[in-house]
Amino acid sequence: MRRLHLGDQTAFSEIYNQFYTRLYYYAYGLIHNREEAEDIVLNKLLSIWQRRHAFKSRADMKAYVYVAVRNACYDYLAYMKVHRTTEFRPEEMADQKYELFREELISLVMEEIEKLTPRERAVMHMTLEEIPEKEIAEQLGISVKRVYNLRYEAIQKLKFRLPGFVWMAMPVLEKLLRTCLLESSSHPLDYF
Amino acid sequence: MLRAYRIPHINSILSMQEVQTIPGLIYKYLKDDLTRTERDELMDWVNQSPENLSLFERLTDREMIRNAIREMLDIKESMWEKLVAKAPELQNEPVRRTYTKPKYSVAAVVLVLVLGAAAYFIIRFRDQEPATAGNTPSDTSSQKPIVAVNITPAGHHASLTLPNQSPIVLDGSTRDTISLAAGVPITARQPHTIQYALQAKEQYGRDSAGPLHILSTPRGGLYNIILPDGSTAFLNAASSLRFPPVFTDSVRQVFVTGQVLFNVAAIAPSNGKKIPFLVTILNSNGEEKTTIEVLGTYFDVNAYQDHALLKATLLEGSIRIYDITEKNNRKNKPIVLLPLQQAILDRRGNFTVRKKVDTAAVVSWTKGSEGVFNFYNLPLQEALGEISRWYNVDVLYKTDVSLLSPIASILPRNAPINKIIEVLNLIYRPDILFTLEERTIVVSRP
Repeated sequence: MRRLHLGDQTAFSEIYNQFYTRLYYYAYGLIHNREEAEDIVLNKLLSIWQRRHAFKSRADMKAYVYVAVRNACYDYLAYMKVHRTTEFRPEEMADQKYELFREELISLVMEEIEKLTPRERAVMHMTLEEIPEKEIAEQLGISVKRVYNLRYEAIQKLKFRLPGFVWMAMPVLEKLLRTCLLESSSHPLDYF
Repeated sequence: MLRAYRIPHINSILSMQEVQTIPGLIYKYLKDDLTRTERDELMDWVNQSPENLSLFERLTDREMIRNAIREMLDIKESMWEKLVAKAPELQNEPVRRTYTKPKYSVAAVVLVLVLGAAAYFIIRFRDQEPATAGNTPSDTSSQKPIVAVNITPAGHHASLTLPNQSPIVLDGSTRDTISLAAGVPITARQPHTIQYALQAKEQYGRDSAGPLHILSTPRGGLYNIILPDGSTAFLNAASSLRFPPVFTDSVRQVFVTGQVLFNVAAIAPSNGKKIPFLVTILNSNGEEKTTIEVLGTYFDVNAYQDHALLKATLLEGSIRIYDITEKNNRKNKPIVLLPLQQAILDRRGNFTVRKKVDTAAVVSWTKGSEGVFNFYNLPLQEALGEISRWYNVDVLYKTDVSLLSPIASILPRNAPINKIIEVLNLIYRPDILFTLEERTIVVSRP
């Protein structure tokens, strides 16, 4: 999607959506500090907006932001080397290892989630927040049935089971399934 | 503003290779997408140290992952707010602030619960049948549904019976080595596996296998075993495996009831001749029925006899199935299965082969509480059989269910039993009513 935004806010919010997660994990991979990574990514994305006139193409912009983030990370690392403020304690090692693994794992999961359509992702997010389907439908301006379908699509795409998801998705769907099956066949035993 | 600073040279201390490969493998594990080599690689890493095992368990905690995803999506949105604060001209275009605060949802959830309980209460009131023994006074409370006392999803329990000895209970508190009069050391590994010492090549030369050992699981119990040839067997609830402590060089034969997932090692100790592995199914009388011949493969045997007598599903390798029931006296014509195929032997003695089954669904039980019940087009009776074995509950049929449409549903295996009952009721309303009385699921017409 080519985009030369000369002041279009929607375009920027799309860019933000597309790039935020990937940039965050990219930064984290370099500096292993959550808050700092968040800040860096935020600032660099903001600078995309501030310099929007300067970019000639999407590729241009992508290159810019990755380089900017990377340089900011290196600056941070250099700063840390000089101003180390905590002693390194061996007992923290195990937890740090866990943190690293965890971030890496979650980045893989998030990559898949970023591949969902915005609607699917929105439904998924709201489901994770335990918002009932009726409200999700209202918020997005779609039917409740569509909410179930979107959620089902999301689960299928992820190929990954999450607690709480299966419950809400399946009973209604397979009730539908059952109704359809009953309508189309004469005898229940014909199915198997 | 205080921050937690991390030391940048972490990378030089931890193995960078680990960080690059292990999370990827774990992710594939969670998606059920590992090749056999990858699985072995992951398991090797897990077994390297208790620290790795603990890491693995923490990283495969789906609740944690669910929260992490939610957190990440939240952060993304809140970061946008921050950004807009710095560049107010963007204010008109919210990213996707599409949901209101959770307080609304809490009210909704509470409402649903109360309604559900009231409906439940009303239905029970209408039920004319005298309740079976054990109805506690709390049943008549309209505030909450029956509390399932001590009914938990399956855990790791089993018992090992050695010849001429009473059964040894295995439940994760087993001591590390169970030594044996015959001298074969058995180690209890982790909370759910026992391992027989790998037998040396020379030991395969014996004539007879000797008396068999029996590993059996009760309802609600799962267990793993590593056999003396390195093959592994994973037993589902209410299953058993009879095997010799030392295999001979002519054949490795084991006997199965219930459901077992095998991962058979190819063994060719002397002169390169492969020793076949035979799995013989025993029926309820302990008679030998079908036998499956294996040459180093990964397959699941379901011999619960709920519906079909046997369902053998092949994941990798190849197997031959010999049926020695009276109907198919032609012992020389085995059924050969290729990966992803499933052979079903029905009660009438006929074999059917399905070409491409969803193997992840078939072996989902091996994930324990992480897995699901994959009831795809399954007769209700069979599904209830699975549920009864998993939760260690009985099923009382007060009405015939064989003419009902089959279930098509996926339910998590770590769900509390009440939830399962709720879903069953939802599916079969208004034809059938499911209730839980003490440790029995009662199936009746409302």
